[in-house]
Amino acid sequence: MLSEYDLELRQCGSKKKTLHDCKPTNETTGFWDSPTDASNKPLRWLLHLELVKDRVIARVPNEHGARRIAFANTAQGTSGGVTTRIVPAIQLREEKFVFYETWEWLLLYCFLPALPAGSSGQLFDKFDETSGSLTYMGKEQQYIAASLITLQDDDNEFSDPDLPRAIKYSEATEAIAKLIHIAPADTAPVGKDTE
Amino acid sequence: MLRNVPVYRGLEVQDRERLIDDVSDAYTRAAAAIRAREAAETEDDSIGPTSLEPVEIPEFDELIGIDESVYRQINAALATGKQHLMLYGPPGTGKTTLAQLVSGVLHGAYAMITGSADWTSQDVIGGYQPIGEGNVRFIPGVLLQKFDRPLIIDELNRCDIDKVIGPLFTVLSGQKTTLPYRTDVSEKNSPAFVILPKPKPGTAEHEFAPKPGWRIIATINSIDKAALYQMSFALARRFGWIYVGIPRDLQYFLLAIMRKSELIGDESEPDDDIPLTRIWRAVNAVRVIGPAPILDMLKTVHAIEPGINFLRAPNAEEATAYLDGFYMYILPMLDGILSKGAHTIAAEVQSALALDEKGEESRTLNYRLVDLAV
Ligand SMILES: Nc1ncnc2c1ncn2[C@@H]1O[C@H](COP(=O)(O)OP(=O)(O)OP(=O)(O)O)[C@@H](O)[C@H]1O
Ligand SMILES: [Mg+2]
Repeated sequence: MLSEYDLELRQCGSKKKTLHDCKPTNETTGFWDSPTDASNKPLRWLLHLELVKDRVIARVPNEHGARRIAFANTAQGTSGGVTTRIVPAIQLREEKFVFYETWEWLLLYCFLPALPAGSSGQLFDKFDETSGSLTYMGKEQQYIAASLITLQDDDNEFSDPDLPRAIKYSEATEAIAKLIHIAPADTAPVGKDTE
Repeated sequence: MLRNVPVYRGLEVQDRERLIDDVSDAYTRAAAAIRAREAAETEDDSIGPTSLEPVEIPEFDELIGIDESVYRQINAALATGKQHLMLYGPPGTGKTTLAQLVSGVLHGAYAMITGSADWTSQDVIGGYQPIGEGNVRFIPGVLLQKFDRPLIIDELNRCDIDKVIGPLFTVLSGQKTTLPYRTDVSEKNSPAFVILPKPKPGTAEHEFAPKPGWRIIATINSIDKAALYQMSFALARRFGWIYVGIPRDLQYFLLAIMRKSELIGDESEPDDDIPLTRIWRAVNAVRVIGPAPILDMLKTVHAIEPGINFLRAPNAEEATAYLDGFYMYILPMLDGILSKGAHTIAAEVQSALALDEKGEESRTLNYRLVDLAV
């Protein structure tokens, strides 16, 4: 589909199979061990999940670089889509997280025209989950569509002695979908009045 | 419009199909929006002035010391209906900049290609290209795609002139050219593409006609003498040839540039040649170079010694900064000079910078210059 528009898909972090292959993580903060180092080229986008009053909520870690959601080789100027892999850090109690890789999600962003040519490791930065804005090469980057793709059965459960109850993948998905807002560019053909 | 990110179940066929549908839909809509926007823009472009209306090219503030003959000749060429211009002269005299500024005045937009030895007629005119599933189609090259605005062919000397403009030759001489490409490759009787020499309203699908704003403005670096002779007389005759030389008064040029960039005050007017003028003049006696490398050298010296007074002979540190600039930007232009010339340049630079004749720096300077010489 992308090739119709001479575009290619960039899959961020696809070369590293597991989180273990990426950079070391920290179970106390639920983030990369060394935020500066790992956030230069984030191989996964880490999100926090927590069971609060019996409801699962998702949040962006309050860490340096947590809003750098991906990087991609955009040097050819043909990137029409970028995916990033979301891995949850589930909070069990104060300062105790598990990185639960059985659960992953793909976040897909689509661009047309292609992303302006950048470097071989160009960052997507300053992601704002409340406004849907995304920064690329220092400027706000428009996108035409974005989707969250689940990669696990809805009924799959995660449980831990520290948690009052098991939580389901579908609950986590719902929490993440609630967290992430998107604002795709208005692509209505110009010249037509929109009501 | 702000909303929550839509969720698709990656493990379910139906959801995957829905994802593909939704995403293709987004691309289709975005592509349509882009086409609509481009269509709107092209209409605006074609409103640009045409070659038929007399347009006077003014002297440009951006360029200093360009001889008035340059403007006079450009305007004469335009006034007599000479459509195409050839700007030639030593390197770094502002030819490319001038071509862009002239295009700007004439049309407000231009297309530019930079000559290269591996350019082919496919790049310029176009040719068959695969479009998938084993099919090919004629894809127009840069010239035909932007047939409505000036085409700047920068550094024409670097490409095989006849190969690149050759196919255009008939057009340049006012004839219709039939291209060896058909509109429908699989249909033997489909019409071949043609390039018309003049604007024509309502062209057919297989016809390319220039819009009134189209013209070629080419630049040639005349260090490359061979290139000038490479062009056939017949082709050369289609262009108005304008020589863009170096500023007539080097010192005046340098002082004007320094005033403009506030490196010196308005009233400073040295009696003698300043060091940079002396160096440039010595270089020019051996090989003529335009302002561009000298400006690069000037900027380098200023970056290294921000407090420098360009009007005076430099102290030891400042001399080193001058040499850095000289090595970085002037030396590379001097490849292949004669060794006699290398010695005269070395001697003049040494004297302009008040270097110790027997010092390390003088020796290095001499050595590097002679090393380039044949
Ligand atoms: N006469 C001038 N006045 C002011 N700036 C100049 C002048 N000539 C050249 N420059 C500056 O030098 C730079 C290079 O100029 P430009 O590329 O137009 O020269 P050119 O003749 O095309 O060089 P080349 O032959 O190497 O391609 C530009 O930034 C231009 O502004
Ligand atoms: Mg040039």
